[in-house]
Amino acid sequence: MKKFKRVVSVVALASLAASLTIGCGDSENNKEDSKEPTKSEQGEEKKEKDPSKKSIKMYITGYESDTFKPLYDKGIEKFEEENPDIDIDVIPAGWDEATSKLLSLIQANETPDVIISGTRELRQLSELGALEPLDEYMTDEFKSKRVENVLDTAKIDGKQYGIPLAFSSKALYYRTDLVPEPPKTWDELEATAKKVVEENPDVKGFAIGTDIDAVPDLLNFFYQNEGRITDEEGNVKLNTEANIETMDFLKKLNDEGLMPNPVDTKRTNISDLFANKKLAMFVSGPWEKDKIGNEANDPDAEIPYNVTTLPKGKVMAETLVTDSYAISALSEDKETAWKLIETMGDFEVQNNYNEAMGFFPILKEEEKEDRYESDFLKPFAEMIQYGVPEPHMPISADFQKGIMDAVKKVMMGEASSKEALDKLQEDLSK
Amino acid sequence: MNISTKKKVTPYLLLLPATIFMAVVYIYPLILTFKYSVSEVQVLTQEATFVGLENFKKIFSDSTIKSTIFRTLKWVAMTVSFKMIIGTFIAILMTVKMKGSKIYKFLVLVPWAIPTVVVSIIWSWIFDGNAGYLNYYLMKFHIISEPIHWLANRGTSFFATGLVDAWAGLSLVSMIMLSGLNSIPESLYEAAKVDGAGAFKRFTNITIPGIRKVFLITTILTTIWTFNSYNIIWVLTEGGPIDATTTMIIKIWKEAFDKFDFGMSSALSVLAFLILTVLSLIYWKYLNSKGEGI
Repeated sequence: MKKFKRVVSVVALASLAASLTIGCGDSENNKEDSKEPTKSEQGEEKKEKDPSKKSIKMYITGYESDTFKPLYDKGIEKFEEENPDIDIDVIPAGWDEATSKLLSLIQANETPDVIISGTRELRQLSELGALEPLDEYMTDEFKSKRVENVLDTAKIDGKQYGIPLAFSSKALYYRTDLVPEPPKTWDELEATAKKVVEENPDVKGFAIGTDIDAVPDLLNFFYQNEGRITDEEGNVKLNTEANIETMDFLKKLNDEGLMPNPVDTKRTNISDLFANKKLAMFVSGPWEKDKIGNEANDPDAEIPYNVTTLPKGKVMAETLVTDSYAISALSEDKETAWKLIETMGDFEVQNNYNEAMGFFPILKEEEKEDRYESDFLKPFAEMIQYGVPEPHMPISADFQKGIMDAVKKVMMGEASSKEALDKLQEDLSK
Repeated sequence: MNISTKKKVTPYLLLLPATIFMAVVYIYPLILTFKYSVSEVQVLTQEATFVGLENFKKIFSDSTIKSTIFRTLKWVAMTVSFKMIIGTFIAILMTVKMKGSKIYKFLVLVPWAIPTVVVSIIWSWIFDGNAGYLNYYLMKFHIISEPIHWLANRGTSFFATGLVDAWAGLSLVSMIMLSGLNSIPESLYEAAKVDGAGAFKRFTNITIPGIRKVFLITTILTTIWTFNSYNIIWVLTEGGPIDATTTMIIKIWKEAFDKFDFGMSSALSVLAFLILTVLSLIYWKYLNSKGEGI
């Protein structure tokens, strides 16, 4: 019996040790502080559930942001008003956990019906069989209302896996008191940044981030140097002369002390540096206006600034970023899921969303809106013609982390641009 | 059922609910992890195809995983050393009768009262290379002339994550060590004083032997907890820059949820399980040994 007790005790103890490993938790402090959102974070406490109603789960990446939440809620409320027998359960997710949380939900048989995520994630999800092709759901009328090339950004191998809901363009923000004439080329960008730093030791000239959110901004530079990250067949091809040159250019800006340390900089913090008068120029979308706190082109403002088109490398270019709605292949009510997408894409909801965020038209009808004629949005609109759609990579997260690690290696001096890109090419080709 | 059988069976019946709970919560995931470690797992369906020891072969042939294991051991050794040395020192200070000792004891508990995610976010502000408090004060007092990018450099980020993890774990270590110190009979110190032993001799001949066992047990327990540390590293650096603070637990997460390779992630979990089981057995042995101290 004594031996049995000992065996039981050892098994129990070993299980305890294993549970610590499997759970990846920190039980030392005996706290429930996992990154998984709580029920209230998931918006499940906000309304009483009516068991007689049908429920549709909507997975929204970026929902918890103060800016996005009311915009999504408006569309959801409209749908629930029009369909009183249906409740929408929102499942929020952060951008850095978009795919991993979604897959965890699918594994736990909690598959969302409608998914909102970056269009760049669609290929991986479709190859895993997680997404429903939407071609059969789209009527000619539905297609005719949408801007065609924006709709095409969510096509994978000829099949429509997503319906874009957000389409953004970037421009260069610059402080008009520090930069009287904005740079038009990479050389001018470097020279202007150098001048700013020489004249204002506490201010940096330009900034790039190296977190996953900053990947499209890095791709802007690749494309401006006539580089691409895939070959014509869609296979990863990163270690090209053009891309190596681009990385060398960014390394040079860093080595000259013109940027805050990119390894320590996140994209979301860049506009904070600008708003705190620590930065003279940066690249971003129209939504940064709110963070800066005053209108552009106002010389008496606290932060006098303006926006202009992105500096040209060998060519003018930018990455066209879209986010899309998709329907889970495992959804038990795909028809209602599609109905929800249609309501969310209604002119009233879509236009309100785009107006609030400074996004560009998804619907043809939006193109007539006066705001797209404003001086502020003009440079962003002008960049669209030079846009290159975001690449659809087989494992998007792997690519995004890999490319940013390569930039970090170069910036930290651990590898040359060629070595870092060769290694990344090798890793992604496995 | 006679009384003697009843007596034998009753304790096991009482243990049954806890055993079922343990089986569901601990044993089932453990078995699943072992199963996945020898399988290739379909992400969506969780269909597992047996691949033998392929995942383990990959672990031992992949240089990045080897360096992760080595890095984990270094990080755990550094962090546990911080916790044990500083925690024991704090515990000794807590035994000194002085004014304000209650406030001091309360302050020692503060890190334990804050959720680790909150702790990590606060420390990430302190360590921020562009606008952090630490750089601000170091520059204000002319200790450094240029800001240090604490979390953007391999060496400093390794040290910083260890330091924060140690800070969060100090309360518990110092409380356990304090209980060890309080268990040493006061009469031993009084007798030593009568025999003419000075403070240093009393410390080396009474205090150290008196807390030896509790120190060893706490070290083993802290090692297991530190090995599993996830929140602090994830919030501060996500295992970066590049892989500078990627410990085994972070690697397990990345394999599972970045690469969706549940087979490899489970194989790494099994490896971590084996390491922790060895530590648990050592802990078990010490806990049941009849030695000095508590």
